Amino acid sequence: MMKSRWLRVLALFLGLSMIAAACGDDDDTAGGEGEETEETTEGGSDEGEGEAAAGGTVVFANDQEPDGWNINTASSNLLALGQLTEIVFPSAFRNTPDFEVNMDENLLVSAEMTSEEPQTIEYVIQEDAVWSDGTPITADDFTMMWEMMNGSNADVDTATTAGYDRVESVEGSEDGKTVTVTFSEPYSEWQAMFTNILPAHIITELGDGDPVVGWNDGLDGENAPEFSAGPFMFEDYRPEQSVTLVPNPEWWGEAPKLDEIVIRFDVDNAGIPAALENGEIDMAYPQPQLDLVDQIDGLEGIESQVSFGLSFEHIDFNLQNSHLAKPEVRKAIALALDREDLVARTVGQFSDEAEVLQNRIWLNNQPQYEEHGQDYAAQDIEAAQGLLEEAGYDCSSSPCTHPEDGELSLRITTTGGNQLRENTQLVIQNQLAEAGIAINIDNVEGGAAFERFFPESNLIADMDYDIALFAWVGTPFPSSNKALYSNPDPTLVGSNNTGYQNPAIVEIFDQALVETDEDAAAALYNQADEILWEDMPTVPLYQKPTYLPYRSSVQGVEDNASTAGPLWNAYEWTVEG
Amino acid sequence: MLGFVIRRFIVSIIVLFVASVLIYFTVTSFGDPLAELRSRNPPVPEAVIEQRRKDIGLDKPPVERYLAWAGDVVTLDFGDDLRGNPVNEVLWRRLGRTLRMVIASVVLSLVLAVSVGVLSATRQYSKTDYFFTFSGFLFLSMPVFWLAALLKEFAAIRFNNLVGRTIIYTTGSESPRLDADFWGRMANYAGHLILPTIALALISYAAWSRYQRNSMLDVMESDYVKLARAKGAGRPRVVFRHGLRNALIPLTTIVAIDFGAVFGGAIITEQVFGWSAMGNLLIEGLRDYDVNVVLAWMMVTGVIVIIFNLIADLLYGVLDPRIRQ
Repeated sequence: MMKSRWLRVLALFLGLSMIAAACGDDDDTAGGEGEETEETTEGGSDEGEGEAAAGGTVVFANDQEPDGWNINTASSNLLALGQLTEIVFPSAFRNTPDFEVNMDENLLVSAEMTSEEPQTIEYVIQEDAVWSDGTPITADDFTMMWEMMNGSNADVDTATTAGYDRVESVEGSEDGKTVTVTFSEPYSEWQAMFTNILPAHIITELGDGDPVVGWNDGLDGENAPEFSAGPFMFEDYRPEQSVTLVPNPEWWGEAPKLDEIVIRFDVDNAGIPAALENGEIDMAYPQPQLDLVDQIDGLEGIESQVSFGLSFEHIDFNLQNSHLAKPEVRKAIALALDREDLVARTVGQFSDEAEVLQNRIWLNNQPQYEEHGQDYAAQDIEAAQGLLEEAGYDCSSSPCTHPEDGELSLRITTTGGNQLRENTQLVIQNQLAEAGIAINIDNVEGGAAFERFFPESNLIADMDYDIALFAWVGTPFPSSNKALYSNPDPTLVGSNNTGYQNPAIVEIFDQALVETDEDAAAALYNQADEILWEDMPTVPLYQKPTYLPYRSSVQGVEDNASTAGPLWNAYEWTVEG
Repeated sequence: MLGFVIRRFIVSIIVLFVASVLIYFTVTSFGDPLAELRSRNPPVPEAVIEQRRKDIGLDKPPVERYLAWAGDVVTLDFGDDLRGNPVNEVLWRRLGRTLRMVIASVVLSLVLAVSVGVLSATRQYSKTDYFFTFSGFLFLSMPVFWLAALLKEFAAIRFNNLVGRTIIYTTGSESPRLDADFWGRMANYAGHLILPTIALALISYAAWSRYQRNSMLDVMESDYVKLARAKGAGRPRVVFRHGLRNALIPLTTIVAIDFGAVFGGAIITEQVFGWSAMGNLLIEGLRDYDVNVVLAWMMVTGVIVIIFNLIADLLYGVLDPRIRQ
């Protein structure tokens, strides 16, 4: 009796194991076929050992799985998705690794401003340019982008209306291959528009005849796009696991050499070194942390590239704080910082080329970059304390004290768990202590930190921090920076988490936005940065590095640290067999 | 017995729903699910943020939202996540993966615990006993992420290098683009299951082996075992037929109770080995302030704990006639 009872219990456990093993994963393999996939790169031809061959698979680890696939919506506007759609969806202009903005000659014959008043841009689409179902890319696709992103329809989910809200009309001619975009107001950053273009006919179909529904919901969740107008297209999306990029058979440009690129979502940063060493992935694009870089750089057969991307770290001052409301205090903090030392102790450990950032609008490796922070380039404790004393502080003891505002003790808040940022905080704490400024580290895990900087109420009064440490993503099109340093309603945060207001900044940004001469616009933005150095609502620290480890058998890899990402030239990659 | 089961079930359901109320209002007061949208540059249009707020129901009072959720959950509909995707689809998919890991580790832990417990008990105070006691406490105190790093290096990478092919995997629950027959899938799952199972099992077995050892020692000192020995029964018969079968009773119930704890405690193991399973679901839900996801996790985990606690109570009665009397 006991024996049969135990047998039943054992059978139950074994049965549950089998059931759980067989279930729990979606068997749908929309495009997968053939045998179990090998996890390492493999050559596909007989061209000889050590030579790059056509074919092969590259497995790329990207732990930020898209929430949806229409990157033009706020819901799905993730940098990580943009790095995938870079080689799937067409764009009028693209960022190159040296941060230049160039017209995509695969899509367009030309893109020219044919009139300044009104500002009119004429795009001529390549005759060969077609979607993967054979339908030509035409003005209809541009028109749909405009209609969805101009903000005229409150039902449309759009990541931004910048530029589109200034367009009067979009017209097609020459069988739709010429697109004429007429602006109601000038817009200097027109090259930033019409990126990740989607097919109007397919979006409408996805919405059962309603393009708004198709736009908002047609590519959400698990509805990975089954169309492309780039060298690759998505195939076989397996939620929480992977999506595959395979060559687009209708691509009219330089054909990809690889058979496929498998994007894995189930490898987090900590697991990258082991996965690389074990041959489970071939590349990754993690945020660099010191121990991660050390582990990976020690691996045989793995190379890496460190570049400097569009993101930059900065500290922001909450101007509602009684101490930080005084410009002398903010400038004293900037003087007390030794940003060279800070860089050396943080990102300088990844690359000798790491530099202090002396501009809030342009980054070190952008051609428009000018250094405006030379007065704050070196630590000057004496000058810092001089400024504090001018503001009424008594710095005979530490921390300095103000007769009305008390001790100069400030919290610094960042996204807890990020080792690089926590190291930055420690360095800042030690440096500012020399000037009699007490810093308390007050971190919150992950996204909760952003709630302190950007409260739910959107009210300036509800911001809950003194000094914030986080990153902004820069851009070749900096007009959006206006929102970081101003708000039409001074009681609201918006993106202006310091509460800073200066009409001069607003005026300059507005001027730059309508300045169609690129050099003149760049000069205006630099002028804005000079004002910001005078007022010091923030202090830029350094440009963040990007880190691209990859298997050395994958040839042709070159990081593009702009929003394009490392897959930008994947059609050129080959695998050494 | 039936009445006991029904009463336990009713009380458990009430406890679950009370817990759901507490968790709902706690998570909704944690923070703003739209904070990340507000921090973007270029800024997201305010109209879009407002529409998102309405889409995810944040324009309604929390009580109304909770009641709507409770009404749906009665029909096993856990609602949508913040992105508008049905929570159910994600939940069942991830539940399968977690169950795979947990069941395998429980089976392995059980085998190890029983073996080690019996050996330790029958060789009490010997070097074998001291070795297993030491190793048991060592694994019990070892952080799983550190154990995972050791396993990845020594149990996976070096082993694979030795045999010249990838047999043991360090990340994920299966290979990407897996498309194989049943046995091919099983083999692939097994290759991905080995390391997390060992990591989870080594920590669980340590405590269980201590229970088993003590239980064996108690049983081996009992009169009926002494009688068996006196009657001339061989040592294996005495240990296994007379001793072990009764010494297993307490462990069985402990394992049933601990199953729920192992299920919930697999969060770290899943993180370390890159399994998109229940643990990650909870972390993502908390990170995003996605109350529907957090509640779904809680309800499923709660039900599993309730069921296994009930099984533990019933098993004890089933296995030990003295309890039934």
